[in-house]
Amino acid sequence: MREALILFDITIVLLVAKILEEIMARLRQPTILGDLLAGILVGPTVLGLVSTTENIESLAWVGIVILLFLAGIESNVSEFRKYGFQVLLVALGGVIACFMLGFLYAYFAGYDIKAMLFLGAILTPTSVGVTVRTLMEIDILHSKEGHVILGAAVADDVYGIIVLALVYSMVLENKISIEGLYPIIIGLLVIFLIAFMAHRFSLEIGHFLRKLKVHESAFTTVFILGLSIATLSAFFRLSPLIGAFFIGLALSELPGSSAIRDRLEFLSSIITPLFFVYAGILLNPWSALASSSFYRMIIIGLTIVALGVIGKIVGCGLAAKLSGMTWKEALAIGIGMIPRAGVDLVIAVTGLTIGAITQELYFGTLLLIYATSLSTPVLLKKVFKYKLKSSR
Amino acid sequence: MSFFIIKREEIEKILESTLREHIEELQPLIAVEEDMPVEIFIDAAKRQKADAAVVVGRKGKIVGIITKLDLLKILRLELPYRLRLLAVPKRPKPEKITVREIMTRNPISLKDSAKVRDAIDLMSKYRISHIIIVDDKGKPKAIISRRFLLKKIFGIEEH
Repeated sequence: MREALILFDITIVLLVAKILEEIMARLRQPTILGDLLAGILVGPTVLGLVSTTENIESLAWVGIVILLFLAGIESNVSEFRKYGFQVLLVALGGVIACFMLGFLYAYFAGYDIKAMLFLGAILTPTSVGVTVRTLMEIDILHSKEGHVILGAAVADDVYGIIVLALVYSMVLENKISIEGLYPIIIGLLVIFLIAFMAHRFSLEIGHFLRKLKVHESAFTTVFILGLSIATLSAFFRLSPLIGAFFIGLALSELPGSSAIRDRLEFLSSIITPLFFVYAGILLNPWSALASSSFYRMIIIGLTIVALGVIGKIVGCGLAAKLSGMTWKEALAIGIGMIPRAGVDLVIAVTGLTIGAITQELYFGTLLLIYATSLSTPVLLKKVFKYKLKSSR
Repeated sequence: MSFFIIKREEIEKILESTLREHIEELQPLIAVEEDMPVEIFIDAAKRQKADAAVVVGRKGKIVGIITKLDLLKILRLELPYRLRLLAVPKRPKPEKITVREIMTRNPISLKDSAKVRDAIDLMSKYRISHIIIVDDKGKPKAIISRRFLLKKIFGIEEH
């Protein structure tokens, strides 16, 4: 019977996820919101069709590793050089402000150090898919502000992945000390060294792959390489994602990378949604209600939303102002950086599965994701009015 | 009756021949820079009746390949929208599109001493239609296409 249950879970999860993805795409929202909603729907929150995650859990983690690996392969090293210092500063402003706000709030709300670290980390990333769409709609993606937002979001996710790695290993080590940082630093160095070598020897790796005889072996070899470095970085307690991303980035100039990327995308379209559905299934407000009240949950949720929004507007905005933009432009950039729905969710799931954050905080994170995705287009259109008027 | 317009032994000969032997028959190489507008490629392709060009970076290194089919990317209503953590979907204004935005990055190339058989093998392995032929120093010499091979061996003109 077990095999039937496994297949049932995977089938129902994929089916509901893909239907909701289609709906979200039509509503011009990120499809990941559909996957997440699918998880909330079939999970214990609403229908309870899939109440345990054990049948999809391993695939879910493979899925997110594939996504980060793919994200790495898709960006290229020169793209990072293209965006200047301003962009790095704006992203850093948002990261610092959000981390501080999350950390301090968790402290004053009486959570332990693990939750403080994780809540801080959860608030740091940005996912600008929604912003990009809106800016395209009102045709100012190719403006100074648009450029800064795009670049900062790229930098931001990298900061986010690194923050996750740091927080993750601090929580697993269960102490924060200088000695505790050594394995993290060694781990990071090893990962960067491997990534550097892989990038340096892209041509040689490409030649080796061509010689393999087994069907689709170029793709499978690259895939296994990605998985191994992800595993290695998990062994260093850095979370698997940083390894997956950086090895992907290192291989982004591999000859024939576009053919390999196409196959990864195909694989990712099936397996990656499982991660976000898994994230939705993990939400269980009923178990949270046993120890806390409904109002408390709502208040915590709304506070997290407020902090996430304020952190980006103030952090990114101030940094933008400091780097020489006007207040209006700075505000527009701050608002453009608000949306979440990406690395933040990965951090929250990691935190929940290792027991660092509670269901209340997890609920708050999901609320933040939906609230920011829905409200950012409206806010952006308002704040960019000055631009629209002046160009007409 | 045979599938082929030439004898089997001749096919074997073609497959075993080196790419260098065919460079003369191939269309002259077009090279474009990645920052150039796509129009430059369209223009050159029209004039020289070529269907692909090598894309070179600032230092003259091969960074990509652009083919006629890549031009369709300009016309797509909307770029596929998937969740991307880093790569952001971009839809630039048509007149601002540069070669970089629609080319295929990190193309497959073969040395001119490689055999035609190797080229066919790579084309099916990576499901690609064009392979760049380079000399020993890695300098691009020509582009060999599926179309060329189909015509040469089967007499089929691919449109």
